[in-house]
Amino acid sequence: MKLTVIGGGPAGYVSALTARRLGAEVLLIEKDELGGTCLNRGCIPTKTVISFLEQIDKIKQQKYLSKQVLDCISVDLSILMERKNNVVETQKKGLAMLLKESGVKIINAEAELINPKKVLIKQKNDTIESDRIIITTGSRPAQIPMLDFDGKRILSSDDLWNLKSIPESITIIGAGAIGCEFAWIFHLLGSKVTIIELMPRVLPMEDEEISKAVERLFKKRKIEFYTGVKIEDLKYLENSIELTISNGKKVISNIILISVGRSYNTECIKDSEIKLGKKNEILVNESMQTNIEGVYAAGDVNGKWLLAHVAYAEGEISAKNALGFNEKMDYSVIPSTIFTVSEVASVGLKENDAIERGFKIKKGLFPFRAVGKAHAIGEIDGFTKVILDEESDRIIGAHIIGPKASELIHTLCIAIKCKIKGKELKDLIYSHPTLSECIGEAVRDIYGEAIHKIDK
Amino acid sequence: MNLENYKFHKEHTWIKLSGKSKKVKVGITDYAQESLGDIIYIELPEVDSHVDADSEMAEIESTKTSSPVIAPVSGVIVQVNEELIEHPEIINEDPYGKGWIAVIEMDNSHEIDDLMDYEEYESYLEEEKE
Repeated sequence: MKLTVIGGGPAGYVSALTARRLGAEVLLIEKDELGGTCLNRGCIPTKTVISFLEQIDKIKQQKYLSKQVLDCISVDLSILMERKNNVVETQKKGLAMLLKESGVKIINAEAELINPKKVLIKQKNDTIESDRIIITTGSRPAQIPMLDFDGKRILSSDDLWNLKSIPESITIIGAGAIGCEFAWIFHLLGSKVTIIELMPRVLPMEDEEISKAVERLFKKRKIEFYTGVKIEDLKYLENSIELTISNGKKVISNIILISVGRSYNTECIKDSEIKLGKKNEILVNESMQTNIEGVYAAGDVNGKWLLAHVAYAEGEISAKNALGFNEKMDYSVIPSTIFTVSEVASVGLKENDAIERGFKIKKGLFPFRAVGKAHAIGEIDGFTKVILDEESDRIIGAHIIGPKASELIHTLCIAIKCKIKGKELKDLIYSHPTLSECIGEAVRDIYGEAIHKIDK
Repeated sequence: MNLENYKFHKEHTWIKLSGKSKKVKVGITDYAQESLGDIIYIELPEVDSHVDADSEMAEIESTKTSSPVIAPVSGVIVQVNEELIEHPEIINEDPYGKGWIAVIEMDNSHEIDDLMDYEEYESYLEEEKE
């Protein structure tokens, strides 16, 4: 069986590796760099930069150091970018090696689907026959009218990596995950940050209490934000841009980041009969198959979740199905993590969604400031919130904001996935002193039994 | 400290009367700041917003906990203590003076009658402790 994968990001390389493991002959075509957005411009570079800057910030927040020490600390953007490039390059070499050793053939070129069994390799003017095709071409930053990317002052999240100096000020349009992560990065770099969001709250896709907590942390950090507003006008000044927003405020900044969503990279199938959705995403069923037999689409390009770990899972499922299995994607337990002014992580239902769906819920909430380890590491902001369905006594949603939230959430993912009863989870013994105790206490709080909480 | 012009709410907040003016300063009591511990943040109310007596008007975060500030009287917030944005610890240092939170223009001066004077508040605290 011959399989061709178009796109070498998370969905693409996982589907290629999976198919190899199952014995197929695999060709992976990538027009740019292996690893896709995630490794080159997204998950990995942002986390490298955030980790670096947070370490410096943590030192700066120490009131127990002398002023002379604190005054010496500053960030050199070129060194920071060197660090980022090193991490990305190491990962990329590792990935190339993994694919090579697994026997995946890689072509570095642009591809176009000619028919369900034939792919054109553009630069080489060559065609390739294939029994099955998986499209994993990903997504790119979406534009908005009136604010076209110019690569200089109106930038996408991709363009930000080309900045040669730290801007004095930046306005970020869109307070989703990408907007809030870059708001944090630029705040830590010392820029004056203003966020503008159309929806009534920042991180509008998260639980309301999480959004409220993030907004408070932004206030504490003097990161300005305006929610429920539109951009009404834009004026170019000498070294800056002035935006007029619908609440009457004018915001002036050196550069603008547009982070309002993603567009789908569907150029490679533009003349095919593959059905696209309203947002130009490739429509697939739960098996990741398109309307054309033998052609699959996984990762961002199918417009479902736009998370690298979902792309991994979809990549695996699509490869298996392309090779004759019949597996379906299960989207019910997918954690999502955001690395902003605090880490934010969630899985399952939000409180409002659970109520809307008719669940009779009980919730438990426990603050990190009542956890000893949080004080020991000097990160006391945030909380763990768990939502329980009273009827089944099962956890149906969990939302964490606070230190290491992105790691902590997985305990609750297992609880939801394995349908562990709340009462069983409550009796789990957590090691002390750890941040995980916050989960234990939040679960106990559902039953009014949190140890370190005063009953009112 | 002379607390003659102060009136106290059972949720450990105070108002400071000045003559017959309907505008009163509002803050939390020494007992409240002591129980909260080191205050690290206060979410101040919006100027021009209206608050109801016995309901939340602000929120204070300390290293131990976060706790609502309960309005002792109803009225419109006419001023907030912006010093607290940078230096919330002033509340710990001087809860009855520089650590005031806001000025409320009262809807109804009769609400003062529901509040305690300092002596009454002190004995209320004693009862609470028991």
